[in-house]
Amino acid sequence: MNKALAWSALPARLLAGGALAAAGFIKLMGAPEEFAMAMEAYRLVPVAWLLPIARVAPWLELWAGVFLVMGCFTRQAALATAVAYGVFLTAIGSTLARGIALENCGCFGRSLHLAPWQAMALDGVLLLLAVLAWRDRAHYLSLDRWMKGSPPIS
Amino acid sequence: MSGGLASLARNRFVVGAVLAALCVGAVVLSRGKAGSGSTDVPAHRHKGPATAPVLLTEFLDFQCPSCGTIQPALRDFMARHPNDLRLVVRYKLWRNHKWAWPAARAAESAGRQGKFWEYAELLFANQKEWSEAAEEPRGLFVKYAQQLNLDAKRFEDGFSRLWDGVIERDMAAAEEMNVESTPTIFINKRRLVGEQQLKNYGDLFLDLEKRG
Repeated sequence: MNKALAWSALPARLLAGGALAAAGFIKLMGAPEEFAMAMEAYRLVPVAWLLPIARVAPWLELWAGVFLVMGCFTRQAALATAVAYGVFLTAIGSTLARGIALENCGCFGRSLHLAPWQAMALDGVLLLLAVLAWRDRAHYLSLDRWMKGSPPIS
Repeated sequence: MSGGLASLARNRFVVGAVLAALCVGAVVLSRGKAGSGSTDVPAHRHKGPATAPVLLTEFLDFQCPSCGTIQPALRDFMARHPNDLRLVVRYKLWRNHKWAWPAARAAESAGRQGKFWEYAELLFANQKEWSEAAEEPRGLFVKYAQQLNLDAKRFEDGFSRLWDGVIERDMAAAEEMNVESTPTIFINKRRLVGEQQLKNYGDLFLDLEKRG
């Protein structure tokens, strides 16, 4: 059972972390003001906070995602990743509940436009994968194992 | 010595710091340096004193609703800083706005007769009317030109793609400057996207620019 969890956690880690890292990286390639504008549509945060958030949040996404993929501070990274997807789900869900039509969810900058239900489905799956990665303690093929001096898989 | 280095290399915090730094390096290298774009904009699209210390560049599309709704805030911002700002309008036209190019051509044509700002105001005031036209709304554009007493022949010449070069130059600059939304405003090189950012950060950015 633990072996099955360990093996399924590896792709889960790569997918959940990879998607979050990609989302952060794409946002960092654009101007933070563009991301702030996308967040403005959610009407969740005072406008004055949006620009500082837009400058910081993509870095957190990138770091959490890369750390999870590489398996460095794996559990903490998996938890941060799960929290991120939970926040995205809640934010998009709240716009649906309030009848706000999002033109662009802002999830992947302007490179990928997702309808709110598509974004929620994707975030939901990725959240589950991040939770799976968090539950695993074997951390196959990870820097954590290498730092402990354990073989990559055992 | 090598044992010390090896144990350092396996320290989680050291490895974490290296990983975080590699992420920063990858982003910095991939970003490159955003260009400032060509600054060659026709004189009729400049407003405000030539001696103003700060240049406010607005990238717009006449068919974009937000570009219309930001105009009162922009006028208010300009009015509050009459000696500090020189406004320049540039085009960032969207493919899904099918009359954006004809509208820009019309505004350029009006600009050649010294009425760019008045014509732009008419385009925004009547945005819904011409945006929803099934055929190219040239008749409406001519009607607005007549309201401003523009020379009809000269105005209509503008529709023969006479001024497409200057519009394309703006589009290339927008690409180079990574403009992905309209309206995008630059206070010198500080970027703002949309009305709320102008209202919330405009004064702060202007102040920072004036202080140099």
